[in-house]
Amino acid sequence: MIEALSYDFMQHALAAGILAGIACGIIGSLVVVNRLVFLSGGIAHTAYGGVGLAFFMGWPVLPCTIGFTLSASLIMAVITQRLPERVDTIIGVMWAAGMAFGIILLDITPGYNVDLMSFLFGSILAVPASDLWIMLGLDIIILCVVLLFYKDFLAMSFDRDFARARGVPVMILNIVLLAMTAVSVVMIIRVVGLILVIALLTIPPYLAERHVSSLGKMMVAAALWSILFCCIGLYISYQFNITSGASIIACASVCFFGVFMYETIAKRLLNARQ
Amino acid sequence: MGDGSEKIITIKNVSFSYNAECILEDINLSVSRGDFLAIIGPNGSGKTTLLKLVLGLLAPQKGRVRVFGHAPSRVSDRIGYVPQQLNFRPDFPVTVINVVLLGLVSSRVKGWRFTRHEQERAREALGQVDMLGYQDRRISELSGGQLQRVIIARALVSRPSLLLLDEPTSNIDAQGQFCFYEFLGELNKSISIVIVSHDIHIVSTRVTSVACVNKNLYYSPRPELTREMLALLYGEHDKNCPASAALAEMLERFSVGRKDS
Repeated sequence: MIEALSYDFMQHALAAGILAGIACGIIGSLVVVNRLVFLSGGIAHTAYGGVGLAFFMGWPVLPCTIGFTLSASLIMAVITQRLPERVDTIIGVMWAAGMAFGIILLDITPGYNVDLMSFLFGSILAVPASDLWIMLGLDIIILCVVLLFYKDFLAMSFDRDFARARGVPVMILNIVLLAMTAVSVVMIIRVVGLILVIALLTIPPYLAERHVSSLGKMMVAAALWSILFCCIGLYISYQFNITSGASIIACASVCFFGVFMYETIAKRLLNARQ
Repeated sequence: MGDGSEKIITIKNVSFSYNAECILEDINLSVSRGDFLAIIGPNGSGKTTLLKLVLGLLAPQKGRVRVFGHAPSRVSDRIGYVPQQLNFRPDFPVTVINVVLLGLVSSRVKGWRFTRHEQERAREALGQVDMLGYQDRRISELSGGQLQRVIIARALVSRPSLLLLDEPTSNIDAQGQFCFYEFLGELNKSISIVIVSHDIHIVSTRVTSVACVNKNLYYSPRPELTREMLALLYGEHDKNCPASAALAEMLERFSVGRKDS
Protein backbone atom coordinates (compact mmCIF):
# COMPACT_ATOMS: atom_id res chain seq x y z
CA MET A 1 0.00 0.00 0.00
CA ILE A 2 2.86 2.36 0.83
CA GLU A 3 4.35 2.08 -2.66
CA ALA A 4 0.86 2.65 -4.08
CA LEU A 5 0.78 6.03 -2.35
CA SER A 6 3.79 7.17 -4.33
CA TYR A 7 1.62 7.27 -7.45
CA ASP A 8 -0.03 10.57 -8.25
CA PHE A 9 -3.39 8.98 -9.10
CA MET A 10 -3.44 7.24 -5.70
CA GLN A 11 -2.72 10.47 -3.83
CA HIS A 12 -5.44 12.18 -5.82
CA ALA A 13 -7.83 9.30 -5.07
CA LEU A 14 -7.16 9.56 -1.33
CA ALA A 15 -7.63 13.33 -1.40
CA ALA A 16 -10.89 12.94 -3.35
CA GLY A 17 -12.10 10.36 -0.83
CA ILE A 18 -11.38 12.67 2.08
CA LEU A 19 -12.95 15.73 0.42
CA ALA A 20 -16.05 13.80 -0.61
CA GLY A 21 -16.21 12.23 2.86
CA ILE A 22 -16.37 15.65 4.51
CA ALA A 23 -19.29 16.67 2.29
CA CYS A 24 -20.96 13.29 2.84
CA GLY A 25 -20.71 13.63 6.58
CA ILE A 26 -22.17 17.13 6.76
CA ILE A 27 -24.81 16.94 4.04
CA GLY A 28 -25.61 13.25 4.51
CA SER A 29 -26.44 13.93 8.18
CA LEU A 30 -28.80 16.76 7.23
CA VAL A 31 -30.33 14.61 4.47
CA VAL A 32 -30.94 11.71 6.85
CA VAL A 33 -32.43 13.72 9.73
CA ASN A 34 -34.62 15.71 7.32
CA ARG A 35 -35.70 12.49 5.55
CA LEU A 36 -34.55 13.72 2.16
CA VAL A 37 -32.94 10.45 1.09
CA PHE A 38 -35.39 9.87 -1.75
CA LEU A 39 -35.03 13.48 -2.83
CA SER A 40 -31.23 13.19 -2.97
CA GLY A 41 -31.70 10.05 -5.05
CA GLY A 42 -33.76 12.15 -7.44
CA ILE A 43 -31.10 14.84 -7.54
CA ALA A 44 -28.37 12.24 -8.15
CA HIS A 45 -30.14 10.81 -11.17
CA THR A 46 -31.10 14.21 -12.51
CA ALA A 47 -27.36 14.93 -12.45
CA TYR A 48 -27.01 12.48 -15.28
CA GLY A 49 -28.80 14.99 -17.47
CA GLY A 50 -25.99 17.42 -16.65
CA VAL A 51 -23.38 14.87 -17.68
CA GLY A 52 -25.17 14.33 -20.98
CA LEU A 53 -25.43 18.06 -21.53
CA ALA A 54 -21.71 18.54 -20.86
CA PHE A 55 -20.70 15.85 -23.37
CA PHE A 56 -23.16 17.08 -25.97
CA MET A 57 -22.05 20.70 -25.75
CA GLY A 58 -18.40 19.84 -25.22
CA TRP A 59 -18.30 21.76 -21.92
CA PRO A 60 -16.12 20.83 -18.92
CA VAL A 61 -18.00 18.03 -17.16
CA LEU A 62 -17.76 18.83 -13.44
CA PRO A 63 -18.81 22.54 -13.53
CA CYS A 64 -21.54 21.81 -16.06
CA THR A 65 -22.95 18.92 -14.03
CA ILE A 66 -22.87 21.03 -10.86
CA GLY A 67 -24.70 23.87 -12.59
CA PHE A 68 -27.32 21.57 -14.10
CA THR A 69 -27.93 19.66 -10.85
CA LEU A 70 -28.10 22.87 -8.88
CA SER A 71 -30.84 24.22 -11.14
CA ALA A 72 -32.72 20.91 -10.94
CA SER A 73 -32.55 20.95 -7.13
CA LEU A 74 -33.87 24.52 -7.01
CA ILE A 75 -36.80 23.55 -9.22
CA MET A 76 -37.45 20.58 -6.92
CA ALA A 77 -37.30 22.82 -3.85
CA VAL A 78 -39.84 25.23 -5.29
CA ILE A 79 -42.22 22.52 -6.50
CA THR A 80 -42.05 20.55 -3.27
CA GLN A 81 -42.88 23.68 -1.30
CA ARG A 82 -45.83 24.53 -3.51
CA LEU A 83 -47.21 20.98 -3.64
CA PRO A 84 -46.02 19.22 -0.46
CA GLU A 85 -48.51 16.36 -0.87
CA ARG A 86 -47.08 15.52 -4.30
CA VAL A 87 -43.41 15.51 -3.35
CA ASP A 88 -42.70 11.82 -3.99
CA THR A 89 -44.38 11.81 -7.40
CA ILE A 90 -42.55 14.92 -8.56
CA ILE A 91 -39.21 13.56 -7.40
CA GLY A 92 -39.93 10.32 -9.26
CA VAL A 93 -40.71 12.19 -12.45
CA MET A 94 -37.59 14.38 -12.30
CA TRP A 95 -35.51 11.31 -11.41
CA ALA A 96 -36.59 9.55 -14.59
CA ALA A 97 -36.66 12.64 -16.81
CA GLY A 98 -33.11 13.71 -15.89
CA MET A 99 -31.80 10.22 -16.58
CA ALA A 100 -33.56 9.99 -19.96
CA PHE A 101 -32.42 13.49 -20.95
CA GLY A 102 -28.81 12.54 -20.22
CA ILE A 103 -28.97 9.26 -22.12
CA ILE A 104 -30.54 10.89 -25.19
CA LEU A 105 -27.93 13.64 -25.25
CA LEU A 106 -25.13 11.07 -24.95
CA ASP A 107 -26.72 8.99 -27.72
CA ILE A 108 -26.73 11.88 -30.16
CA THR A 109 -23.23 13.00 -29.20
CA PRO A 110 -20.84 11.87 -31.94
CA GLY A 111 -17.98 9.58 -30.96
CA TYR A 112 -17.51 6.89 -28.35
CA ASN A 113 -17.67 8.15 -24.75
CA VAL A 114 -15.26 6.18 -22.60
CA ASP A 115 -16.02 8.34 -19.58
CA LEU A 116 -19.68 7.30 -19.42
CA MET A 117 -19.13 4.27 -17.21
CA SER A 118 -17.02 6.32 -14.85
CA PHE A 119 -20.02 8.49 -14.08
CA LEU A 120 -22.17 5.49 -13.38
CA PHE A 121 -19.65 3.74 -11.16
CA GLY A 122 -17.24 6.47 -10.17
CA SER A 123 -13.70 7.20 -11.24
CA ILE A 124 -11.84 7.99 -8.06
CA LEU A 125 -8.61 6.67 -9.60
CA ALA A 126 -8.79 9.27 -12.37
CA VAL A 127 -9.55 12.50 -10.54
CA PRO A 128 -7.52 15.37 -12.01
CA ALA A 129 -5.97 17.98 -9.71
CA SER A 130 -8.32 20.68 -11.06
CA ASP A 131 -11.34 18.68 -9.81
CA LEU A 132 -9.70 18.34 -6.40
CA TRP A 133 -9.48 22.13 -6.13
CA ILE A 134 -13.15 22.49 -7.07
CA MET A 135 -14.06 19.88 -4.46
CA LEU A 136 -12.01 21.67 -1.82
CA GLY A 137 -13.74 24.95 -2.65
CA LEU A 138 -17.17 23.36 -2.40
CA ASP A 139 -16.26 21.71 0.91
CA ILE A 140 -15.23 25.08 2.32
CA ILE A 141 -18.48 26.70 1.14
CA ILE A 142 -20.59 23.90 2.64
CA LEU A 143 -18.66 24.06 5.91
CA CYS A 144 -19.06 27.84 6.18
CA VAL A 145 -22.78 27.80 5.39
CA VAL A 146 -23.51 25.01 7.87
CA LEU A 147 -21.41 26.63 10.63
CA LEU A 148 -23.05 30.01 10.09
CA PHE A 149 -26.61 28.64 10.04
CA TYR A 150 -26.07 25.63 12.30
CA LYS A 151 -28.68 26.64 14.85
CA ASP A 152 -31.23 27.35 12.14
CA PHE A 153 -30.54 24.02 10.41
CA LEU A 154 -30.85 22.25 13.75
CA ALA A 155 -34.14 24.01 14.54
CA MET A 156 -35.51 23.27 11.07
CA SER A 157 -34.42 19.62 11.10
CA PHE A 158 -35.81 18.97 14.55
CA ASP A 159 -39.20 20.65 14.33
CA ARG A 160 -40.10 22.62 11.22
CA ASP A 161 -43.29 24.22 12.56
CA PHE A 162 -41.63 25.38 15.74
CA ALA A 163 -38.69 26.77 13.79
CA ARG A 164 -41.05 28.72 11.55
CA ALA A 165 -42.93 30.01 14.57
CA ARG A 166 -39.59 31.28 15.93
CA GLY A 167 -39.01 33.23 12.72
CA VAL A 168 -36.36 30.90 11.26
CA PRO A 169 -36.44 31.30 7.43
CA VAL A 170 -37.27 27.62 6.86
CA MET A 171 -38.14 28.07 3.19
CA ILE A 172 -34.80 29.64 2.31
CA LEU A 173 -32.86 27.14 4.43
CA ASN A 174 -34.62 24.31 2.66
CA ILE A 175 -33.54 25.67 -0.71
CA VAL A 176 -29.98 26.13 0.55
CA LEU A 177 -29.95 22.58 1.89
CA LEU A 178 -31.14 21.14 -1.43
CA ALA A 179 -28.56 23.21 -3.31
CA MET A 180 -25.79 21.92 -1.04
CA THR A 181 -27.13 18.40 -1.49
CA ALA A 182 -26.92 18.82 -5.25
CA VAL A 183 -23.32 20.00 -5.04
CA SER A 184 -22.34 17.14 -2.72
CA VAL A 185 -24.09 14.57 -4.87
CA VAL A 186 -22.09 15.65 -7.91
CA MET A 187 -18.90 15.44 -5.85
CA ILE A 188 -19.73 11.96 -4.60
CA ILE A 189 -20.60 10.85 -8.13
CA ARG A 190 -16.96 11.57 -8.97
CA VAL A 191 -15.87 9.14 -6.27
CA VAL A 192 -18.36 6.28 -6.20
CA GLY A 193 -20.59 6.97 -9.18
CA LEU A 194 -24.20 7.79 -9.72
CA ILE A 195 -25.56 4.34 -8.89
CA LEU A 196 -23.96 4.18 -5.48
CA VAL A 197 -24.29 7.76 -4.33
CA ILE A 198 -27.20 7.12 -1.98
CA ALA A 199 -25.30 4.48 -0.03
CA LEU A 200 -22.46 6.86 0.81
CA LEU A 201 -24.92 9.62 1.69
CA THR A 202 -26.94 7.42 4.07
CA ILE A 203 -24.78 4.66 5.56
CA PRO A 204 -22.19 6.88 7.28
CA PRO A 205 -24.89 9.14 8.85
CA TYR A 206 -26.82 6.07 9.99
CA LEU A 207 -23.75 4.61 11.67
CA ALA A 208 -22.94 7.99 13.18
CA GLU A 209 -26.42 8.81 14.46
CA ARG A 210 -26.78 5.97 16.95
CA HIS A 211 -24.48 7.12 19.71
CA VAL A 212 -23.91 10.83 19.26
CA SER A 213 -25.66 13.51 21.28
CA SER A 214 -25.83 16.27 18.69
CA LEU A 215 -26.25 16.94 15.01
CA GLY A 216 -22.77 18.48 14.85
CA LYS A 217 -21.13 15.37 16.32
CA MET A 218 -23.18 13.27 13.91
CA MET A 219 -21.70 15.25 11.01
CA VAL A 220 -18.14 14.74 12.26
CA ALA A 221 -18.65 11.03 12.95
CA ALA A 222 -20.33 10.50 9.57
CA ALA A 223 -17.46 12.27 7.80
CA LEU A 224 -14.96 10.01 9.59
CA TRP A 225 -16.92 6.88 8.64
CA SER A 226 -17.04 8.07 4.99
CA ILE A 227 -13.31 8.69 4.89
CA LEU A 228 -12.67 5.30 6.50
CA PHE A 229 -14.83 3.55 3.89
CA CYS A 230 -13.09 5.40 1.07
CA CYS A 231 -9.62 4.45 2.36
CA ILE A 232 -10.44 0.77 2.96
CA GLY A 233 -12.38 0.56 -0.31
CA LEU A 234 -9.47 2.08 -2.21
CA TYR A 235 -7.03 -0.35 -0.64
CA ILE A 236 -9.21 -3.34 -1.55
CA SER A 237 -9.72 -1.95 -5.03
CA TYR A 238 -5.94 -1.58 -5.51
CA GLN A 239 -5.02 -4.97 -4.03
CA PHE A 240 -7.63 -7.07 -5.79
CA ASN A 241 -8.17 -4.98 -8.92
CA ILE A 242 -11.89 -4.34 -8.23
CA THR A 243 -13.92 -1.32 -9.39
CA SER A 244 -13.18 1.33 -6.78
CA GLY A 245 -16.75 2.68 -6.38
CA ALA A 246 -18.17 -0.77 -5.82
CA SER A 247 -15.50 -1.74 -3.31
CA ILE A 248 -16.04 1.48 -1.30
CA ILE A 249 -19.78 0.80 -1.08
CA ALA A 250 -19.23 -2.90 -0.40
CA CYS A 251 -17.06 -1.91 2.51
CA ALA A 252 -19.74 0.50 3.83
CA SER A 253 -22.52 -2.04 3.34
CA VAL A 254 -20.66 -4.82 5.16
CA CYS A 255 -20.08 -2.41 8.03
CA PHE A 256 -23.77 -1.36 8.01
CA PHE A 257 -25.11 -4.93 8.12
CA GLY A 258 -22.47 -5.95 10.66
CA VAL A 259 -23.46 -3.16 13.05
CA PHE A 260 -27.16 -3.73 12.39
CA MET A 261 -26.92 -7.46 13.17
CA TYR A 262 -24.68 -6.91 16.18
CA GLU A 263 -27.17 -4.46 17.66
CA THR A 264 -30.18 -6.70 16.97
CA ILE A 265 -28.47 -9.69 18.59
CA ALA A 266 -27.21 -7.61 21.52
CA LYS A 267 -30.73 -6.31 22.13
CA ARG A 268 -32.16 -9.86 22.02
CA LEU A 269 -29.55 -11.08 24.50
CA LEU A 270 -30.22 -8.15 26.79
CA ASN A 271 -33.97 -8.79 26.70
CA ALA A 272 -33.44 -12.53 27.26
CA ARG A 273 -31.34 -11.83 30.36
CA GLN A 274 -33.94 -9.55 31.92
CA MET B 1 -60.79 37.17 33.82
CA GLY B 2 -59.18 40.04 31.98
CA ASP B 3 -62.38 41.92 31.20
CA GLY B 4 -61.57 45.39 29.99
CA SER B 5 -57.83 44.72 30.17
CA GLU B 6 -55.42 44.77 27.24
CA LYS B 7 -56.38 42.58 24.26
CA ILE B 8 -53.38 40.50 23.25
CA ILE B 9 -55.00 38.47 20.47
CA THR B 10 -57.67 39.87 18.18
CA ILE B 11 -59.10 37.75 15.38
CA LYS B 12 -61.50 39.64 13.15
CA ASN B 13 -63.76 38.07 10.48
CA VAL B 14 -61.14 35.45 9.70
CA SER B 15 -61.85 32.75 7.12
CA PHE B 16 -59.45 30.05 6.01
CA SER B 17 -59.87 27.36 3.38
CA TYR B 18 -57.56 24.62 2.24
CA ASN B 19 -57.97 23.29 -1.30
CA ALA B 20 -61.34 25.01 -1.68
CA GLU B 21 -62.57 23.33 1.51
CA CYS B 22 -63.62 25.89 4.08
CA ILE B 23 -61.94 25.09 7.40
CA LEU B 24 -62.77 28.24 9.36
CA GLU B 25 -65.54 30.65 8.53
CA ASP B 26 -65.87 34.22 9.76
CA ILE B 27 -64.12 33.69 13.08
CA ASN B 28 -64.11 36.44 15.70
CA LEU B 29 -62.20 36.03 18.93
CA SER B 30 -60.22 38.13 21.32
CA VAL B 31 -57.97 37.10 24.17
CA SER B 32 -57.07 39.47 26.99
CA ARG B 33 -53.92 39.55 29.09
CA GLY B 34 -54.17 36.99 31.87
CA ASP B 35 -56.70 34.77 30.10
CA PHE B 36 -56.47 30.99 30.13
CA LEU B 37 -58.51 30.08 27.07
CA ALA B 38 -59.36 26.54 26.04
CA ILE B 39 -60.20 26.03 22.36
CA ILE B 40 -62.07 22.76 22.00
CA GLY B 41 -63.39 20.97 18.96
CA PRO B 42 -63.42 17.54 17.35
CA ASN B 43 -60.59 16.33 15.11
CA GLY B 44 -60.52 18.23 11.85
CA SER B 45 -62.60 21.07 13.25
CA GLY B 46 -60.00 23.71 12.41
CA LYS B 47 -58.70 24.32 15.92
CA THR B 48 -55.08 23.61 15.04
CA THR B 49 -55.52 25.81 11.95
CA LEU B 50 -56.77 28.59 14.21
CA LEU B 51 -53.67 28.22 16.40
CA LYS B 52 -51.41 28.30 13.35
CA LEU B 53 -53.10 31.50 12.21
CA VAL B 54 -52.31 33.07 15.58
CA LEU B 55 -48.70 31.89 15.24
CA GLY B 56 -48.41 33.32 11.74
CA LEU B 57 -47.62 29.86 10.31
CA LEU B 58 -50.68 30.30 8.10
CA ALA B 59 -52.14 33.50 6.68
CA PRO B 60 -55.92 33.98 6.58
CA GLN B 61 -57.56 34.40 3.19
CA LYS B 62 -60.05 36.81 4.72
CA GLY B 63 -59.97 38.88 7.87
CA ARG B 64 -57.16 39.90 10.19
CA VAL B 65 -55.14 38.36 13.00
CA ARG B 66 -53.29 40.63 15.42
CA VAL B 67 -51.11 39.51 18.30
CA PHE B 68 -49.92 42.22 20.71
CA GLY B 69 -51.24 44.63 18.11
CA HIS B 70 -48.93 43.39 15.34
CA ALA B 71 -48.84 40.78 12.60
CA PRO B 72 -48.04 37.45 14.32
CA SER B 73 -44.68 36.93 12.60
CA ARG B 74 -43.38 40.21 14.03
CA VAL B 75 -43.94 39.18 17.63
CA SER B 76 -42.65 35.58 17.50
CA ASP B 77 -40.26 36.45 20.36
CA ARG B 78 -43.18 36.99 22.71
CA ILE B 79 -45.06 33.79 21.88
CA GLY B 80 -44.21 30.40 23.35
CA TYR B 81 -45.41 27.50 21.19
CA VAL B 82 -45.96 23.87 22.20
CA PRO B 83 -46.79 21.97 19.00
CA GLN B 84 -48.39 18.54 18.78
CA GLN B 85 -45.79 16.12 19.94
CA LEU B 86 -45.35 14.02 16.82
CA ASN B 87 -43.86 16.95 14.94
CA PHE B 88 -40.40 15.50 15.45
CA ARG B 89 -38.61 12.19 15.70
CA PRO B 90 -38.05 11.20 19.32
CA ASP B 91 -34.79 9.48 18.25
CA PHE B 92 -33.29 12.71 16.88
CA PRO B 93 -29.66 13.05 18.01
CA VAL B 94 -30.04 15.97 20.37
CA THR B 95 -29.71 16.49 24.12
CA VAL B 96 -32.42 17.84 26.40
CA ILE B 97 -30.72 21.19 26.97
CA ASN B 98 -30.17 21.70 23.24
CA VAL B 99 -33.87 21.14 22.55
CA VAL B 100 -34.67 23.84 25.10
CA LEU B 101 -32.06 26.15 23.55
CA LEU B 102 -33.88 25.88 20.21
CA GLY B 103 -36.54 28.02 21.87
CA LEU B 104 -34.02 30.89 21.74
CA VAL B 105 -33.14 30.51 18.06
CA SER B 106 -34.25 33.52 16.08
CA SER B 107 -33.77 34.88 12.62
CA ARG B 108 -31.27 37.44 13.84
CA VAL B 109 -28.54 35.59 15.70
CA LYS B 110 -26.20 33.39 13.66
CA GLY B 111 -23.43 30.96 14.50
CA TRP B 112 -23.15 27.47 15.88
CA ARG B 113 -22.79 28.08 19.61
CA PHE B 114 -25.23 29.13 22.27
CA THR B 115 -23.89 31.68 24.74
CA ARG B 116 -23.32 31.01 28.43
CA HIS B 117 -26.23 33.31 29.19
CA GLU B 118 -28.52 31.31 26.88
CA GLN B 119 -27.41 28.05 28.52
CA GLU B 120 -28.22 29.57 31.90
CA ARG B 121 -31.71 30.50 30.74
CA ALA B 122 -32.27 27.02 29.33
CA ARG B 123 -31.34 25.51 32.71
CA GLU B 124 -33.75 27.93 34.36
CA ALA B 125 -36.57 26.80 32.02
CA LEU B 126 -35.73 23.14 32.70
CA GLY B 127 -35.93 23.92 36.41
CA GLN B 128 -39.40 25.37 35.88
CA VAL B 129 -40.64 22.05 34.51
CA ASP B 130 -38.62 20.03 37.03
CA MET B 131 -36.30 18.44 34.48
CA LEU B 132 -32.99 19.97 35.52
CA GLY B 133 -31.28 16.63 36.20
CA TYR B 134 -31.81 15.49 32.63
CA GLN B 135 -30.09 18.28 30.72
CA ASP B 136 -27.35 16.17 29.13
CA ARG B 137 -29.51 13.15 28.31
CA ARG B 138 -30.36 12.39 24.70
CA ILE B 139 -34.11 12.85 24.18
CA SER B 140 -34.52 9.25 23.03
CA GLU B 141 -33.89 8.22 26.66
CA LEU B 142 -36.91 10.15 27.98
CA SER B 143 -40.47 8.97 28.58
CA GLY B 144 -43.38 10.60 26.79
CA GLY B 145 -44.27 12.73 29.79
CA GLN B 146 -40.67 13.86 30.33
CA LEU B 147 -40.33 14.76 26.67
CA GLN B 148 -43.50 16.81 26.92
CA ARG B 149 -42.04 18.80 29.81
CA VAL B 150 -38.88 19.47 27.80
CA ILE B 151 -41.02 20.77 24.93
CA ILE B 152 -42.77 23.10 27.36
CA ALA B 153 -39.42 24.30 28.67
CA ARG B 154 -38.49 25.06 25.06
CA ALA B 155 -41.58 27.26 24.81
CA LEU B 156 -40.88 28.97 28.15
CA VAL B 157 -37.18 29.68 27.67
CA SER B 158 -37.82 32.84 25.64
CA ARG B 159 -39.93 34.16 28.58
CA PRO B 160 -43.04 34.64 26.44
CA SER B 161 -46.08 36.64 27.54
CA LEU B 162 -48.34 34.27 25.61
CA LEU B 163 -48.21 30.48 25.60
CA LEU B 164 -49.96 28.49 22.84
CA LEU B 165 -50.37 24.73 23.33
CA ASP B 166 -51.71 22.25 20.76
CA GLU B 167 -53.12 19.03 22.30
CA PRO B 168 -50.38 18.94 24.92
CA THR B 169 -51.80 16.10 27.01
CA SER B 170 -52.18 13.42 24.33
CA ASN B 171 -49.14 11.52 25.60
CA ILE B 172 -49.76 11.96 29.31
CA ASP B 173 -51.73 9.57 31.56
CA ALA B 174 -54.74 10.77 33.59
CA GLN B 175 -52.80 11.50 36.75
CA GLY B 176 -50.11 13.32 34.80
CA GLN B 177 -52.78 15.40 33.08
CA PHE B 178 -54.13 16.62 36.40
CA CYS B 179 -50.65 17.75 37.46
CA PHE B 180 -50.12 19.29 34.07
CA TYR B 181 -53.25 21.44 34.22
CA GLU B 182 -52.35 22.52 37.76
CA PHE B 183 -48.92 23.48 36.44
CA LEU B 184 -50.51 25.54 33.66
CA GLY B 185 -52.81 27.15 36.24
CA GLU B 186 -49.74 28.30 38.19
CA LEU B 187 -48.05 29.55 34.99
CA ASN B 188 -51.21 31.49 34.16
CA LYS B 189 -50.46 33.83 37.07
CA SER B 190 -47.78 35.43 34.90
CA ILE B 191 -48.53 34.29 31.31
CA SER B 192 -51.64 34.30 29.15
CA ILE B 193 -52.40 30.81 27.85
CA VAL B 194 -54.34 29.42 24.90
CA ILE B 195 -54.70 25.66 24.82
CA VAL B 196 -56.21 23.59 22.02
CA SER B 197 -57.82 20.26 22.89
CA HIS B 198 -60.41 17.76 21.66
CA ASP B 199 -61.21 16.82 25.27
CA ILE B 200 -64.18 18.76 26.71
CA HIS B 201 -63.12 17.84 30.26
CA ILE B 202 -60.54 20.57 29.97
CA VAL B 203 -63.40 22.91 30.90
CA SER B 204 -63.25 21.62 34.47
CA THR B 205 -59.56 22.51 34.87
CA ARG B 206 -58.23 25.95 35.70
CA VAL B 207 -59.17 27.55 32.36
CA THR B 208 -60.95 30.91 32.55
CA SER B 209 -62.74 30.94 29.20
CA VAL B 210 -63.76 28.52 26.47
CA ALA B 211 -64.11 28.68 22.70
CA CYS B 212 -65.71 25.90 20.69
CA VAL B 213 -64.58 25.50 17.09
CA ASN B 214 -66.13 23.49 14.32
CA LYS B 215 -65.71 25.69 11.25
CA ASN B 216 -67.58 28.36 13.23
CA LEU B 217 -66.67 29.53 16.70
CA TYR B 218 -68.63 30.04 19.89
CA TYR B 219 -67.01 31.83 22.78
CA SER B 220 -67.84 31.83 26.43
CA PRO B 221 -66.03 34.20 28.82
CA ARG B 222 -66.49 31.63 31.61
CA PRO B 223 -65.27 28.02 31.91
CA GLU B 224 -68.56 26.53 30.79
CA LEU B 225 -70.12 24.83 27.80
CA THR B 226 -73.34 26.28 26.40
CA ARG B 227 -76.09 24.55 24.47
CA GLU B 228 -74.85 26.18 21.24
CA MET B 229 -71.35 24.86 21.84
CA LEU B 230 -72.56 21.31 22.37
CA ALA B 231 -74.65 21.59 19.23
CA LEU B 232 -71.55 22.77 17.37
CA LEU B 233 -69.47 19.87 18.70
CA TYR B 234 -71.96 17.03 18.52
CA GLY B 235 -74.73 18.27 16.21
CA GLU B 236 -78.43 18.73 16.94
CA HIS B 237 -80.19 15.60 18.13
CA ASP B 238 -83.85 14.67 18.26
CA LYS B 239 -85.40 14.22 21.71
CA ASN B 240 -85.75 10.47 21.08
CA CYS B 241 -82.12 10.07 20.16
CA PRO B 242 -80.05 8.57 23.02
CA ALA B 243 -77.45 11.27 22.40
CA SER B 244 -79.92 13.90 23.50
CA ALA B 245 -79.96 12.63 27.10
CA ALA B 246 -76.19 12.42 27.16
CA LEU B 247 -75.90 15.99 25.88
CA ALA B 248 -78.34 17.23 28.51
CA GLU B 249 -76.21 15.59 31.18
CA MET B 250 -73.08 17.16 29.74
CA LEU B 251 -74.69 20.55 29.69
CA GLU B 252 -75.55 20.08 33.35
CA ARG B 253 -71.97 19.13 34.21
CA PHE B 254 -70.15 21.77 32.21
CA SER B 255 -72.41 24.81 32.43
CA VAL B 256 -72.42 27.71 34.86
CA GLY B 257 -73.94 27.03 38.28
CA ARG B 258 -72.31 23.58 38.31
CA LYS B 259 -70.94 22.60 41.67
CA ASP B 260 -67.25 23.37 41.82
CA SER B 261 -65.39 20.37 43.13
